[in-house]
Amino acid sequence: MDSTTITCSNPDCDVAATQRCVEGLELSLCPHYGKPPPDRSTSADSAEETALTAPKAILLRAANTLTIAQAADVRRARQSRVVAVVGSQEAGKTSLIVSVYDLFQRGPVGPIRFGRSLTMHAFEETCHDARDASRRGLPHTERTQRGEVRFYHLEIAPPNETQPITLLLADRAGEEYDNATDNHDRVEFPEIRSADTITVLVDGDRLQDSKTRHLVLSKIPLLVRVLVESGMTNDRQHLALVLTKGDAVQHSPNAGRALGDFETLAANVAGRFDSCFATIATYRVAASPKTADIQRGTGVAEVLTFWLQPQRAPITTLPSTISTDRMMAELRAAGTAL
Amino acid sequence: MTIAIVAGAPESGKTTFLGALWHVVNDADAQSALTILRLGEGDRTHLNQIANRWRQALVQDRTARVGMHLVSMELQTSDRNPVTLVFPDVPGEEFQEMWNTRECKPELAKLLSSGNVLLFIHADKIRKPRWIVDDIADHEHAGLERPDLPGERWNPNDSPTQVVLVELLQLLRTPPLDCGPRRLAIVLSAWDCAAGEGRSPRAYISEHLPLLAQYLEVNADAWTYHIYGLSAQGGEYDSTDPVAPPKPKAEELRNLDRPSDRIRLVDESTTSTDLTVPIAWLMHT
Repeated sequence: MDSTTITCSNPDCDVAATQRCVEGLELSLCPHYGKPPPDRSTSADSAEETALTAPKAILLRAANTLTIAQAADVRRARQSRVVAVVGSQEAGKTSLIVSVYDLFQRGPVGPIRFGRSLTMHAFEETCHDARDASRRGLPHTERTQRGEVRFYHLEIAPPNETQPITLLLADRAGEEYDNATDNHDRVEFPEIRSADTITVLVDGDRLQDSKTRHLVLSKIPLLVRVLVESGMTNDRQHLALVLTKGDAVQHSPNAGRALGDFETLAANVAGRFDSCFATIATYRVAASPKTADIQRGTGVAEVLTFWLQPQRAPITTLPSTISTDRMMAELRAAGTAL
Repeated sequence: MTIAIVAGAPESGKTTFLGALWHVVNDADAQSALTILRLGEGDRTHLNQIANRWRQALVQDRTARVGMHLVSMELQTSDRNPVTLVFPDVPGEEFQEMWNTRECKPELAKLLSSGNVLLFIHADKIRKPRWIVDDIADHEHAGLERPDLPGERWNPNDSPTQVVLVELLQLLRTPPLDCGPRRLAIVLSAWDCAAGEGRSPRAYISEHLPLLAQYLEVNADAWTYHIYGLSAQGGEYDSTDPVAPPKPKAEELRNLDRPSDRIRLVDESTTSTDLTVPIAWLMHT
């Protein structure tokens, strides 16, 4: 076959003889034009070989959660906020993260609109167990598996912002944060170091339960202390304390006590760590309630608004002595020159 | 040459539109923005088949639409400028598979990586997300017991319509399919089923596909877009099964002297029978 031979992989097309595409297309647009015709005399072996080498499919962008490296790439490209959601296992970390996406399914969250997402498969898969399509009796959120931290991605448009803001929502297994309270010597949580906001979850269900109440009240300050003393936090970051599972609290006979405990806990944390963070704020949410008498996503819009804050700009103070010395030196040098 | 990608879920009205379009551009009486310039070369079997089914008020035969068809039309604008339009008529399953498997056939990827986009959404077949808590409340309200089952694993096919559409549009603005900013004409098909709500096509999307509405409003992917409501059939069509009884509405439509009178294209403020308008808008530079 010489180099000018016209070929087409469509067996019904006789373009070599007619100079015309059987589909009526310009030849440059035809996906079959220029490709070798199917060789019916080819042996089974070589046909198999061709099948193995020819690309059967073009891979599209994945839509799973992002690795640290992928999240870093996104962060470099766009105005972004990193949110570390921290808490014990089953405190509601993943539920809170995916509730933002799930609320966008029905419209803007407060004044904030959905822009795009690189992790829609991950969101959909995680939301599945709270949706009717799962055929479950009660809403459920699958626990995050131990391993490297993963990031959910959302681009959102707050009011009065000309460009959307990228949210990178870090999700890590609660056991790893729990273990850090036992021994944080070699613990490294990159999501904490890079976070604009650290969100510590207070499990409302465990707080309303007399058996576990004091465990929660002692664990949260300890967890914050571990993060601070390990040097992973800085005083430009924001801290949110979020009471989760508002439905469990609301339905509890101990609801008043649990809310009082949360206030005391928040005051305790603020008192001890006020100088360690740019701001400390408290919220109460029911991200994925198990009953309909409390609205799905209650309090999430307020948390989302808090997450939009960037780290506080570093306060730069001029080193006055050095400046004065340098100024005098410059004056002397100028005098010499004169 | 202009390529317009005809995209949408299975049974979203893509092939009905192409059949009606082929009729309209060939209809000497039709007052359309685009008309036939010449038949040109190539095989028109697919176009003639789908146009004939539309003229006979017969539903499009899905079994006949396995695989991708490349449809080419040589048209002219109202000011007699010639334009060749190429529509890849792709089964909706291919777009659903892109969401499900994150893969795309090489020949489809080549086509999707150029041209403007005509996106069809069947106004009456929107799969909305539904939450267990709402279902529990409905059962309680009705005094019914809701079974507590162990649940089923996630299947991407169950994803809400708006999620699949947003991801399709995102993918068209992401390598390897991205070709820079494009025009996007969104066509809400079966508009006769939706018109009773008294909403504009844009308001209909905000109400029934709020995630897609937000994606378009924020427009991080920089689409130039327009939304239309289209009733290309005009009502319910007959089955292609020869023994199936004819439907009165289909008979009524066949009795119209001008088949084009079945068509209703609704813009934000205007209504017409010219379904070439979205194509003419896509071609506008």
